[in-house]
Amino acid sequence: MDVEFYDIRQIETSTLTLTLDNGCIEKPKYDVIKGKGFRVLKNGFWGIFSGNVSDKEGLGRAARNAVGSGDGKVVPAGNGGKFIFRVKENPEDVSIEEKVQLMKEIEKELKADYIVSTRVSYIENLRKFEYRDSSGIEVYYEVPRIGIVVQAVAKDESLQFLSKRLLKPAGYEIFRNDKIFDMASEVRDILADLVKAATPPSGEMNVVMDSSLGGVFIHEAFGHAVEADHVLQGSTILSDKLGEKVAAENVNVYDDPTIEEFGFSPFDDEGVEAKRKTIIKDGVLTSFLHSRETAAKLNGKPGNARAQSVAEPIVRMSNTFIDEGDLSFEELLEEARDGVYLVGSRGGETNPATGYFHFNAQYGYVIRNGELAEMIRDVSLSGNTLSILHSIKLGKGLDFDPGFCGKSGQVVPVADGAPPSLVRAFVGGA
Amino acid sequence: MDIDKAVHFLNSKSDAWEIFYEKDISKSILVEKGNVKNISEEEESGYAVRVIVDGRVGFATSTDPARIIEVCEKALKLAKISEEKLDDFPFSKCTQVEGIYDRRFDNVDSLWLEDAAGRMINAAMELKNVNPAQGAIEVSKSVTRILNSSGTDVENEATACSAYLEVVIEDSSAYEMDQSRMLNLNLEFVGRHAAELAVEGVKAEKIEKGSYDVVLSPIAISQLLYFALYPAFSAENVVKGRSMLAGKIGHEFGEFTLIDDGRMPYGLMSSPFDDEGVETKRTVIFDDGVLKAYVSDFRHAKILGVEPTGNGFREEISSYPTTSPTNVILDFRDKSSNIEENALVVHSLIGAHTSNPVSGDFSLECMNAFLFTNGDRKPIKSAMIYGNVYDLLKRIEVFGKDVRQIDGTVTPSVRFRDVVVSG
Repeated sequence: MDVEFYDIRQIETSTLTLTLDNGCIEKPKYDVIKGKGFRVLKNGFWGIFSGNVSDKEGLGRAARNAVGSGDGKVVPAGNGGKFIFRVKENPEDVSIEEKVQLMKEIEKELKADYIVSTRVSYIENLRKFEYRDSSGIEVYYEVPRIGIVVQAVAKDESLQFLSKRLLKPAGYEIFRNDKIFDMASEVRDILADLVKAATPPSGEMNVVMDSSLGGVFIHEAFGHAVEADHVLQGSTILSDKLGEKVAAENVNVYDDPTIEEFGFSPFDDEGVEAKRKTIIKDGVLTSFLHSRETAAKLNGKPGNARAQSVAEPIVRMSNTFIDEGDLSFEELLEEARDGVYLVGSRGGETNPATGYFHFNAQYGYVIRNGELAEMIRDVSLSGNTLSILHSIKLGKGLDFDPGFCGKSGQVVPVADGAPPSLVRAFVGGA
Repeated sequence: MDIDKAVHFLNSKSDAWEIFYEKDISKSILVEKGNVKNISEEEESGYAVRVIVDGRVGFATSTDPARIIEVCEKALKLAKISEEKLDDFPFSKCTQVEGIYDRRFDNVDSLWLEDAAGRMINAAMELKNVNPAQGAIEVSKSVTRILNSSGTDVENEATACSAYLEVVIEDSSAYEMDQSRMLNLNLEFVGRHAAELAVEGVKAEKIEKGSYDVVLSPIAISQLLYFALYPAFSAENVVKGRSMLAGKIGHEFGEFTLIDDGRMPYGLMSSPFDDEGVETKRTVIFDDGVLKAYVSDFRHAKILGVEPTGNGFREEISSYPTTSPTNVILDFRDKSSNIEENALVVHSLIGAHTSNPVSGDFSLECMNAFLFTNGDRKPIKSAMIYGNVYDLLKRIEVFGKDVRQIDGTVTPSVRFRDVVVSG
């Protein structure tokens, strides 16, 4: 083919989803998706096609879309390779009846007289990925993902919902201990207080974030701003900050697809072997996240391009985390003196161009005289990423939370990690 | 795909069955930093099989036509453990809806897309120093066919297109969009308005905390209500105790009118039938503030003992049909074309999806907000509005006249009285 570069991906995913809604298995489904994605780079311009067609037809149709001219280019992907993720217990060997039984046992832990609605969702997924490009590299991998999400709604002085999730690249073995049962009873117990909780104070104040909310902060407010496609678009506040101090001295931030958390992947969707990337080292911005194209344009390292199914691979995070510091939780509270302690996240949103972020915590507590006081509900947090990173104080104990991240209409599994931390930000009702 | 073979198989193994088939072809062009970056074409077809055995529903889907019998078998296997109850599928005949198919879409090629992107970018660049950072234009065509054991065999073809552009200048950014069933996108408007908002947002100031009259644009209204209000009038959420509107038919919630109309001519969400084959219709939900009805899919209508409203839609081919709004049309007695004086005017919101769909509580960051005071227009940054959607709906003062459809919502700008804003 008379082109600068082409690649072909073939992806097959099979997914089983079971939902136990108020004690009944509703909407059970099985889904198998098979598709191919083709990209052609010609005169620096990308032509793209996806569909279930032969390689020849797919490349031809992609080439027909490569009509313009541009400055597109790519760096090589490395050596390719093969990886099969081995699990201890293959979920396909566990009967569907046993899975349903497990869900019903978990649901019992969620129940209480103030709980008006429960949901337990089970998901198991296998992704088979095949990649070839015009330089001749070949990649094949298989990665399974599995997990359960528990959710309950409680009613007293207010209606409140709360959820927790256990999602991993793993087999059925992750359910062979009490972890998921403990998550369910925690949801039940917290809701007992949450429905009676007060509305939060508002204004700028000291905020202690738990690991889960801190993880969302580092993912949403900071991680998206170091995605190099945003840098090339000129739509991130960090565009010209490489090599500069962007955070407090002891802040280290990484993106690491090799950790066996929900964002795990042995290769990215452009055939590049997964590697840990240091984004902030001792407070200094050291690297952006790159695709093969952004790496070529900004002299970076590729490995961070991901795609939902056969969509176009774009720069994404995997397991993103801020490393732990040395303060104990009590020391963080003492340092905060007065403010709020916020726990968990109901999702968030950020604008990388301005650095403003906004997300809602699942619940929280007032901090008074360095100690936890009354519980608060429907509380949100907002602020500016850089000013928060400059003054963040980090606690001990790194913990990851799994989730799904959306960008440009594509959803991929990720995990966010952080220790408990202390920041100054705006708190409001939700 | 061998549908006949699947039908024969399902007739012998299930009490009732349904096959939903969809084929989508879309073409899009991506804009990055003022240039066209790529052109992409996507061809996707898939099918979903729903079966009923002993009153229990099983469901399996695939994009692989060769596996249809395997998919039917998986659906039958899931029916065994399923507690999703249903005794049959709806029977319906095919009808038509005006303005959802434009045959000109067949003529859209790479050159058309390049030209369209150029027009949008150029409209933005008429303003100095702006960066049309990110945008896209997409055209798509879909064919949907639904067959079931009740004798339904309906088919629909529809087209849609959209344009989106985010413009950045200094520390300010703004976006605008247009969506249509017909090939008539207002590309100049998208480019120019995004650029104007971005330019006006430079040197934005903080707002003082307090109570303000707030005008939400159609984009902001759509974002807020989709997450904070629409889930509440879904029959499924009502049945499951996840709605503040459960048991409140006949109660008053303000003075606005809200209609779900699945047959609105040229509506972005219009179709002759929903994704279960039920004919779509016009349902008055709030009439002058009084709650009249919920919208519902086939199964939850049966549970509630009402007629289905044709609101059973699938998010994707691989999703079960669930209660979903179609075109939601908002109306109010008082309308004026001048509603911005002495108010905080908000173009779009950040974080609407974090609203509490059960309680209706929200807390949102305003994007591209302006404070109008005595003819003066001042850009505002980092303003947050918060409250509860049911309280907010009682604070509607007046509707504007700038009616647009954004996603499902058809509304003008709306002015609300005394909304809490924090800086």
